[in-house]
Amino acid sequence: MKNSPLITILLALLAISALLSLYFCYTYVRKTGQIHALQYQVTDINRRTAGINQLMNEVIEYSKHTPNRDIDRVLESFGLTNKPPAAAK
Amino acid sequence: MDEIENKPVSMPATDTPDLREQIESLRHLIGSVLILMVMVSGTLTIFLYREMKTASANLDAFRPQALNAMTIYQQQQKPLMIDFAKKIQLYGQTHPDIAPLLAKWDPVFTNWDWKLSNQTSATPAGVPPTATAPAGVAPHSNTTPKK
Repeated sequence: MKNSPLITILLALLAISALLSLYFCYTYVRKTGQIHALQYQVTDINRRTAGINQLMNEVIEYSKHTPNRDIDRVLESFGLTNKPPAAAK
Repeated sequence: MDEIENKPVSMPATDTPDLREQIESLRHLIGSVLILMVMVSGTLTIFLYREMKTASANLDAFRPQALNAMTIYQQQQKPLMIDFAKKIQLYGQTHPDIAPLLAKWDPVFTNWDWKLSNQTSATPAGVPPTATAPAGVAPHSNTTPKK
């Protein structure tokens, strides 16, 4: 029995389409994974920065309640102080 | 008995056109199903292609920003954070009254590269040797930069 050329063409098209789908799906998953990995790292950096800033604030509050030169020196080395800023002229 | 079994089945002459008709019908059915499958598969391919292009564009746009943020963190913010944690931890060794504050924050920093409380080890704050001079974490808005 001879195969119809239409069926052969359709089968070829189907195979090509399936292969392309597989390739696009693989690429999509890979790129999405890269985006998520980058987003996770940036979120982690933001969380750390926010955490250390909160810690700095609490240390400043601590230095207001327990004033001593050691903590002032620590804060000053990071450009921080518990004193209010000078009034603008 | 063997003669009966081996006897070729002779189809009546009237069945042949009907069979041929059925084969043609099946051929048409297969063709129709294949056309439908090609359409569905093509639609899926186009959809996946567009998704891939979108993801690729998003990645290209986000990667430089993320790499920039990571570079700034690694080169400037992280050393400053480690230095601050180290100094606060050293301060806590001589001033136990700050211990509750450090103990409160210690779990937060557990998964980081340092520890705050003194209970951990002899090496202060678990600071890696890469800690260098601080260079630029912006203090929180409540903090007051020294004039």
